[in-house]
Amino acid sequence: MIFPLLRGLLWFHRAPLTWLLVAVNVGVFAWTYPAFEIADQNIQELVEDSDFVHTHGMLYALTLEETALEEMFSEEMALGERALQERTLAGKTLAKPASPSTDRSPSSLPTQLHPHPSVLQLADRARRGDPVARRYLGIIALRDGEFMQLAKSRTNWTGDQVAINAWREQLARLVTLQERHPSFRLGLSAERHGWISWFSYQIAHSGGLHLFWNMLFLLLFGTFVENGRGSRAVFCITWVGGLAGALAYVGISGLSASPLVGASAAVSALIGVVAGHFRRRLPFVYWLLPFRGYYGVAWLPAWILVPVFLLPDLSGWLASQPGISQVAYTAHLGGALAGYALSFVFPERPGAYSELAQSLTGTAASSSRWAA
Amino acid sequence: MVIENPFEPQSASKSKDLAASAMGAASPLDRLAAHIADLVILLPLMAIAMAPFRREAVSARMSQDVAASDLAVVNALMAAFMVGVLWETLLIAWKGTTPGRAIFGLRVVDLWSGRRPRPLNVFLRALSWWLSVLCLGLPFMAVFSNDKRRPLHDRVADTVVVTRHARRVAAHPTSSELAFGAMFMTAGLVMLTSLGLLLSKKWSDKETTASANFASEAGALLCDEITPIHEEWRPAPGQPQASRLSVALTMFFASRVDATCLQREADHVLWSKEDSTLGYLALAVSRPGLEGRKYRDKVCADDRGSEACFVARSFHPVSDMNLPEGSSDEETLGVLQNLMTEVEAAPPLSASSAEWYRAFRMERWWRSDAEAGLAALQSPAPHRDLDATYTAWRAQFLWQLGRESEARTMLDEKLPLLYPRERFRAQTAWCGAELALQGCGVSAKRVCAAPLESLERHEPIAQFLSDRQVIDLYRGAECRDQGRPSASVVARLSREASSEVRRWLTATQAWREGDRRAAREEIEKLLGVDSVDMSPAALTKSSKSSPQIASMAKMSDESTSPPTEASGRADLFLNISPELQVESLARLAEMLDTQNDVDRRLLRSLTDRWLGAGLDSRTRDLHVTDAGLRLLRRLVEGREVRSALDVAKVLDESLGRVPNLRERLAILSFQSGQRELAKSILLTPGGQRSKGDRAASAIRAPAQVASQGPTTPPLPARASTEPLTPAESRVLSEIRRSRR
Repeated sequence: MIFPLLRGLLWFHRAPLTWLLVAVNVGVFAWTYPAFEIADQNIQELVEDSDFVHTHGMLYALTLEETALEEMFSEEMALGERALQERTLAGKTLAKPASPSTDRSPSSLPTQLHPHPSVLQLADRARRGDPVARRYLGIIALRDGEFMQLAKSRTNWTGDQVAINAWREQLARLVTLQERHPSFRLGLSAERHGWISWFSYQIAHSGGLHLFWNMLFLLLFGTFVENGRGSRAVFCITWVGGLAGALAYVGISGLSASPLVGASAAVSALIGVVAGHFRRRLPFVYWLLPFRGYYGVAWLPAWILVPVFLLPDLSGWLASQPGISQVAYTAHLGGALAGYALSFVFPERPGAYSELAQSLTGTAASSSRWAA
Repeated sequence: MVIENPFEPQSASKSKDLAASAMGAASPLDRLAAHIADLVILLPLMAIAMAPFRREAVSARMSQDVAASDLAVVNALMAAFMVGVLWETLLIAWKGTTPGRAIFGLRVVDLWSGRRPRPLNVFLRALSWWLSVLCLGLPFMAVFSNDKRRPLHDRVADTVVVTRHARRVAAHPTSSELAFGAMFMTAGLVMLTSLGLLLSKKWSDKETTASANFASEAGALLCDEITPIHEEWRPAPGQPQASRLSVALTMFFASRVDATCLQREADHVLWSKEDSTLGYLALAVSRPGLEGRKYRDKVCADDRGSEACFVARSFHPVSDMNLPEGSSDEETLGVLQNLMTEVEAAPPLSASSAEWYRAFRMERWWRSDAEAGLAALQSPAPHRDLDATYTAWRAQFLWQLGRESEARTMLDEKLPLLYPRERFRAQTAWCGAELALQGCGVSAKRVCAAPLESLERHEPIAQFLSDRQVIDLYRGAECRDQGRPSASVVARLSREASSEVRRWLTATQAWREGDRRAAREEIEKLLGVDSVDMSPAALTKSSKSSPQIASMAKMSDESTSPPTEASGRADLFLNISPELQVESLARLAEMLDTQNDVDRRLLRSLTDRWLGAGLDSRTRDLHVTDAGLRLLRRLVEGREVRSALDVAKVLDESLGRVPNLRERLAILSFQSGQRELAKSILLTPGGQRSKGDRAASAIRAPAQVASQGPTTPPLPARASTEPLTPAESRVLSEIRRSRR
């Protein structure tokens, strides 16, 4: 219904960095597209294979149960040697040879295997034989970095051996496919979280539409910010904003096995910069009804950007189940906050805003009552 | 305390304020646009209010809790509603306008004072605005029909919406505006109705799946049907108490529980860290295709000669053979034949065999070895449900062994004890057996009446009928309704039948209605024969294929070889069940014109085909014999001596079931010059029939045969059997004389 209309879109000479960023993103997407297309389709097929997902979910449920048992066990160990001795005397060997805790990745970053209550509930249902719970859990497990590590290394699973063998073959296929998938190579995931991934994730996209919208808003806000604050500011705001977004995401929900990709956090940082001047009026295209006088351009306060772009992220984050959501809302929010903070570090060149106002008064004058 | 009249205007001068102000009523379009503009901010706020409930809804859906999920959705909607009401109340009570209204210069004012309305009025106004939305926006219609532009919510709160812009003051409502309003409302109504329909459909779908999947909440989600059976399971002395899974497997083979139930039981056993061959076997027999074969390989990995491996392999026979691309039909058939013999070399039933093995063999192979089946059924079943199934089988074996009277006695005795579904199955089989043994007689009519009634009453037990059952019931209806089965029976049968039997049914019914040409063509197509162009190659091929191979091919889930041009017909023939093949064959023989040369040739080829099936003694049950008798009658009528004698040789002692058939055959061979043969045909008596049976036939309906052969026992007449003509009787006595 409303859409920001910021000036400077076509001023290549005034916003070279923004255009360079767009070119890099589009270029990377085009370059990796053939590999992306093949790998993505195959992974989709694999994930839709119900037997694979069911077994995956069941093994995840069993692993979660073991982890819970181990935690209980270690608590008892802390209580005293006696409890431990009694257990070993009774012949109960609760500790598994390849326990998840020994496989824990050396990084101190959290990589999930999170015992969130709703997930534990699901695991309980899955263990009791609920096929729907197994399916949900299988999809959640695909995003759990620690479990994926364990799944690749562990060999002594107990259960339906035929299903487990079939699952193992499929999992090996999934791993090779993921190694070829550009989102996994560039994105930030439990598998790859070296320092370069924290930046490279920003130039990978998970599809044409994802790329289109991110680039559209990058151009809209990037050119405006670069015109007002210079290329250095845009450079810092996008990369630092992206880093902050990733940090917020990892800090809140942990590293996922499915990679974080997209320039959204950087774009959110730019939005944070623009929306930071709350009371300043910005031009918006609006369309309310298909009648004369109900569409056009209006000058509205910049804080409108907050409900339009940032509140949906907040509500999306509040509404999403941990570990299941497809969209990293927290990364958007982190990026926006970082952008707002950085807007004080890089002050705007005086007169930049009045340039914008002047360049658009012609449009605004057509309906005088908006100019107020 | 004095109560003031609340409706009396407190001050007359105040009412002039509105008239005095420069403002006028706002235009409806402005008001609509203002609401839409408000949504830019209001919608994100509502989304935040709804977020926790949406989260709840997602987790409730994950745990399949429909009630909790619906509650969360309702809560989310309530939260959104409350945000909407708060938004209107707070902003209008505080500022007299909202951001969206401010853009258009609109204000909400008190009708009388022209000032900001009181908070309580604003609250009432907001409530009734949302109530109007819930009433599909119908109350908003008033805005198009009065000068002050006050719909329900404005009247409730005594307010009016005014505009600051003199140019945009609403005019008197025009007819075009009314038309616009009407269109707007209609469109809204249509959209809402379709949305409601969509939602209600989704809702009902969701409920059925949820109730089907989750029967037991506590403990493991096991199959409910097994629990009571397992508790009442009494194994034979010396046998250990059977496990739940073993019970489930037995009941699966006895067609008492479905594959989903068995899979759930097996899944539970396998994942509770018991490495159980039985669990793998259960999955091998209940899962189709590649997955099932993987389980079969697991079952056979340890012991290839075990009972479990045999059962698993018989469910997945085909992938064992490695047929090269483009191998000929003979090769395919040969491989199938080898497979069949391999699978048939089953480990015998022993004292240590589990109950599920007995139940399995019942279903699969003892149809063709009734003697052994009967022997295996001597020991009692461990559960009464299973006993009912076994009783029905026992009767089936007795029919096949020709011990009709025993079968009848047993059914007479046990039928009332059976469960309705079992009883229906037993009665249907009984009906078919009586029709095959003695044609449409009194007892057939009596036996067939009960299942036909169940069918006509649309009882749920008469569902998912097998080919055999559909054929038996149709023939029963033919018998009961004097050759013209009632339309209700036919309609019901064709709904419960598989597609091939449905084709057969339609064709047979068309024949009854008089559309003979189409009916014949359809049945020929079904059988894969063509009266106009019969290539010998196709015929020899099809005559080779025995019903077992057909059923094997049906069982296999992969196409054995790409259908070549030459084998096209044979493949079609292979695709229909043996029961349907035999019945269609007999039907087609009855449809042919025995005076026509082409038809006679077709009759001969049908004979070849029947011999292919009928020579194999294991499959020669009473229905195949019955079809042979029906074929033989036509052959005798068409004076096809050689074919008739071939068939008669196979049928031999069963010839006596059709009155005068033996005599006519003798006459035919006598007239074609084979006098010795004619004599021997008459001489061969039907005397080997069991004693009990002769006694049984004695108490049955009185004989209606015009001329009795010396040794033929009196049997009730087949419906369409004519007595011997005087000329035939003369020839017959001539043969007898020569014999003496």
